[in-house]
Amino acid sequence: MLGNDVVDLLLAKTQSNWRRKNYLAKVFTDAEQQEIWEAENPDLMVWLLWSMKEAAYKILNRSIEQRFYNPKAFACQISKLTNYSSKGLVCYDGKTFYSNSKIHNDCVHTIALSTQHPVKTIKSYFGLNQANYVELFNQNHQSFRLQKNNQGIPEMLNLCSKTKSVASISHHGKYLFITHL
Amino acid sequence: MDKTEITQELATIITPYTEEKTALESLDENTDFIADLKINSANLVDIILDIEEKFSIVIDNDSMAQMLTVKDTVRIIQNKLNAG
Repeated sequence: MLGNDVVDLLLAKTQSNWRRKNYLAKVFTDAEQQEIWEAENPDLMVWLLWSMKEAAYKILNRSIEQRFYNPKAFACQISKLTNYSSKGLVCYDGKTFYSNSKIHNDCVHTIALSTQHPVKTIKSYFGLNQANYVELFNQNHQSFRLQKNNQGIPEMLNLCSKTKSVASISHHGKYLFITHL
Repeated sequence: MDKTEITQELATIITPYTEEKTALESLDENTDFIADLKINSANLVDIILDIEEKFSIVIDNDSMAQMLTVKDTVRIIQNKLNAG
């Protein structure tokens, strides 16, 4: 299973004031808050950790078929961080998710996985966030069909092999990411 | 405070975080913050903080986990007010 999440850093800057009193304490564990304040770029660290939590939540939400809002319960541990990428773990209620993030100039994108799947085999498409993105994706990728299953969950149909795989869609601000196994 | 008053206060709190003006105008207990009002998930924290300030209550994480619709949010606010 996979989940992905993108944060448009320019939009996040105007949309959310994480420096607001009590904001960090509601969302982040003590260790994560320390990581934010010690980071070279605290804004980036906030949204990197946020995207890790959201990507892991998307996996859990699908597997338990329940929605809830408890970002603090998803505890992140970053094991590797460079200027362009990050790897880590997200733990929730005894479950572990594996995260891989890419850091671009003005967006952060995380893919979380429920198993240690080689990240290179995951397909990820980047595009602009437009209302007709499903149509555009299908026009531009003749061998794939992005669709929703009976439960409204996105899936990718491979028209050549006639196989289906789980897909995850994330959009924020200008950005859109479609990922599938 | 009764449910109607709490719902009215809640609608005022939510207003700056949604661009879905039609959904906001027809807000009722079944309104969903994410599905109907398209509120960004990072702004749900702001709504929780605004609720805490407005009603002088503390929302614990277990309560926050359930606050995705007007109905659940109003129920939690009412319980906290009654408990206080």
